[in-house]
Amino acid sequence: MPDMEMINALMNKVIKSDREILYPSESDAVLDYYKIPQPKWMTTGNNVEQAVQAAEQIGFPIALKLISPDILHKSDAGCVKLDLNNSPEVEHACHDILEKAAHAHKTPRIEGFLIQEMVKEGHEVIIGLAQDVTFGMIIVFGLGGIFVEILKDVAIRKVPITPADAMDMIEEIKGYKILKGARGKVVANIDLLKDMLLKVSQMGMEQKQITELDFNPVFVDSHRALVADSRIILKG
Amino acid sequence: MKHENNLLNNFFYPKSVAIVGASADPKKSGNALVKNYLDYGFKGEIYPINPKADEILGLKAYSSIRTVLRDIDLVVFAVPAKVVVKVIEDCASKNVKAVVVHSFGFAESGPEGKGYQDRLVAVARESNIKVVGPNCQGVMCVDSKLPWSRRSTFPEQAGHVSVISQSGGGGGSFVNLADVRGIKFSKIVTIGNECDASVMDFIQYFGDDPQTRTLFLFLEGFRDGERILDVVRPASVNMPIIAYKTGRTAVGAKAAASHTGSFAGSIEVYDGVFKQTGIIRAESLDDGLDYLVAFENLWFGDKQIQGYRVGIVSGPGGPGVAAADAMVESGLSVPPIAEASKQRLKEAIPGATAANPMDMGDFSLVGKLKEEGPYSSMSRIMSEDQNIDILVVIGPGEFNPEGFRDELYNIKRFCEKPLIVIWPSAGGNVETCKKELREADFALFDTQERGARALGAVKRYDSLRSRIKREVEGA
Repeated sequence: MPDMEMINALMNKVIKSDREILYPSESDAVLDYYKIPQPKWMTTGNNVEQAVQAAEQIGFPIALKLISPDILHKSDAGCVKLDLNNSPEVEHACHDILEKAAHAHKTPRIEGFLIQEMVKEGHEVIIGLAQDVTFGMIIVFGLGGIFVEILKDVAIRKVPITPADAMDMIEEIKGYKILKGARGKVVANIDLLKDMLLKVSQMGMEQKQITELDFNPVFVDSHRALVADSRIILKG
Repeated sequence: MKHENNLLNNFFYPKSVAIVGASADPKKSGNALVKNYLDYGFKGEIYPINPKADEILGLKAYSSIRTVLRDIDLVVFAVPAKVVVKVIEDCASKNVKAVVVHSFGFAESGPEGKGYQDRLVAVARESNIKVVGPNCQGVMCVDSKLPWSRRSTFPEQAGHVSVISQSGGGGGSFVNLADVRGIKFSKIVTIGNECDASVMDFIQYFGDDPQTRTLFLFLEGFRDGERILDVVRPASVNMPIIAYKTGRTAVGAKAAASHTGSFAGSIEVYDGVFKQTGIIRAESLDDGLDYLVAFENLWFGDKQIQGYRVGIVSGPGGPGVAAADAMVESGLSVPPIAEASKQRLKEAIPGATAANPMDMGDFSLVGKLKEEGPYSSMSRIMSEDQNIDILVVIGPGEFNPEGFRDELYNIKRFCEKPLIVIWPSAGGNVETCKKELREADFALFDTQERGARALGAVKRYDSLRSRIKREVEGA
């Protein structure tokens, strides 16, 4: 298990290397330290063969993502492929992602591929941190997709939050009824969401170098809440 | 620290005040300022400071702060910025504890003014002097009869509402509007450039102030928002804090690298943090005034609120139904009344609607309003019902307003539960009666929606307060 010293060293290393966004392996260490669960995943270098092997090891279906510090919005750039069911699909997707990356950026640095267990069950929620000009570090919670992006249906607090604050945040969003299983949807485990909000709040208190953090999406169903994609950005 | 020892206490209860820029010339603002202290009857020593005058409005004038041989608690400045930065040195050597700087020409005016402000702050910090302003209308305290500058009317009777306003003009017009609603003030402070003492400092002060029970913020933003959880959570356990936030649309829109980042700097952050700290946000100035009436006359009324199930009593049916809609929309419940209450009502007023909302049925009864008339009968039955926590009485249109007023006095005498009056009518004698009721501390609202929103705000505060109280005391 990573300890605080290791996390600090990791953050300092990233800042010194003039990079703002953490690589998946670094985010993984931070999430591990805070005991925030993720789907199974592996990274490989820029090597299609290795990516296929990793996918076989994790088991299909998988999600495939490009690792590049130059492409921030990976989905928008076409550098994320979901629901790949066999090795030929993975191989094809790797080539396609590399092609898309070349369109998105003149000379993208390609660190490799992230291969992740495909989680489809449950609700998609977003949990994040940001620096507010008035209040300092704030924590944000909402349902994923259009709920946050278009409807702005979010709950916001200043960190640190209390367990009651976490509960209020979850109950406050209009989408709460959906999490509770409206229209035959799976019932989300509210305790796990609460727990994750508290852990992210603690991270916001302890990791002062973080300027923005997005867990998007977090998949939550009745028995687990997993961070399927994380983006941690440090002060430049 | 004891409240009296809080340095900010010197702004409200100084034993002596020196007025720098006092003038013998009635055309000058430095003359009006001194006159305000005299007219209002300030309970302390007044030292006008002016190098060219011997006497101002019958008071001995002093050539400088240094020539006053007694202690000075508070110094008020009405002189140009470049003079302020000189005289502040005198204040430091004279061990002055607090200064109010009305003068403009500081940071708000450009780089030169910013230099003056920095100088002012540096001297004040070094000498442990607290500063309000610059560029503000100063401080008022009804208890000590300390007058606000640039105003000519001051409240006589002290109340329990205090106000922190960043805008002098905004705070001033708010106080006038609240006055008409029967709100009585304790203290008002306008912060201006907030170079030293901040909104947050004063929230902390008022939270411990025995004279303040409700706080109103006319707020642009916080300068030291990082402190809000530590300062405001304990304060809002002690008193309701209502905030009217301006600058809601000037969103600090910045390009964010994440979805979360795009919310930073938005009004949604204020909304979330207000909920976290128990602050009740008034979305409009009207709401703010209504909320003050509700907190002053219901939350701090003579009957303790035991719950939020409302029982509505009306002359005609329509306005009662409108009130029920508004109450439910504001998060309150309008439960059915007990069978026994229905029986009692049928015996008292045979044609009446025996339900919640309750109405007279035969509206001609409004002509018969008197001290123990139909409103009293209905209110007695409704307020004694076990399903009801709060009585809401809806006033009639234009007939017999005096009769309704007299019934209300009667109802207030016997009713053992909190009482709200909604009187959706206006003009002539109705206005006269409303004014009288407001002065008698009735929780009176002009429309169903405004009354319901105000009661909803009290309910929200009540539940936030219970939770924060548990957490603050448990911590």
